[in-house]
Amino acid sequence: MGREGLRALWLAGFGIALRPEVALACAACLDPNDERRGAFLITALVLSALPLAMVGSLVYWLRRRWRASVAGASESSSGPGRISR
Amino acid sequence: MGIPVARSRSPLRLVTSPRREALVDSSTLGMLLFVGTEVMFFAGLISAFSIARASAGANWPPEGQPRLPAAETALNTAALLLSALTLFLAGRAYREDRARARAPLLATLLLGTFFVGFQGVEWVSLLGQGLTLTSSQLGSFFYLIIGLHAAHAVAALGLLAYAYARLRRMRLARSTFGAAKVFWYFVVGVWPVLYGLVYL
Repeated sequence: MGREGLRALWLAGFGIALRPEVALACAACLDPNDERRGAFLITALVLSALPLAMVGSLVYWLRRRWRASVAGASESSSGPGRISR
Repeated sequence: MGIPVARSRSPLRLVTSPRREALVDSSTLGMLLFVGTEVMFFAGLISAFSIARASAGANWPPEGQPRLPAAETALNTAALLLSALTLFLAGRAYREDRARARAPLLATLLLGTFFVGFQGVEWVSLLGQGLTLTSSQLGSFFYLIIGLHAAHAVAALGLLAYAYARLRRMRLARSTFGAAKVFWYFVVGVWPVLYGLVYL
């Protein structure tokens, strides 16, 4: 794509950004049923946060184990008789 | 004529560092990853159930359908939670003296079997009252979600039974026991959420 083509593409993108419209892609976001809308919102939040929480917990747990392992190794290496003569 | 070799007169000798143990053994890590996918699987089912239930509004449970036996299942829930405690005790005993882990592990197996058996009896009763997989949305979700949990419970019991058989021969590896524990803790951990949402 040439320089003119890129400029046209950028201008087109800019023009579209100036005319925003509500996209009704979410079937439940504007649902008149309050209970259903609430359930949808809560479950969407849970489903979004759950994998992050699980991965975060696993990383935290592994890090704790790694720190304990390093601390244990340095304790044993600093003890007497480490360098034999 | 040989190649001259320089002999070190240094009094120091090289000491190789001991092999560091893995942070977590492969079986346990594999089971943790599997359980992570299962958590998301159940979260998807719970999400679908919650939205369907909210859509029904006041018409839940649907008319003409039996009420789920919440009080009886509370007893079953207590048995399952107790099994997690006995498994925890088995894990602690295993670290100190393997032979002492037998009794609490057997108790876990028995409590888990009681849970699955009780659910089977409950299902027979509900089927007799007209709650089937196709009778209503409640029936569809109930048998799907609770049934899948029961399938996981049976699989986890199989793994625990294998672990117990190995322990009896004093051949239970720490990694196998670790994986079995993670799976059973998942079965126990997800149940109160299902009970609270589906039964209450």
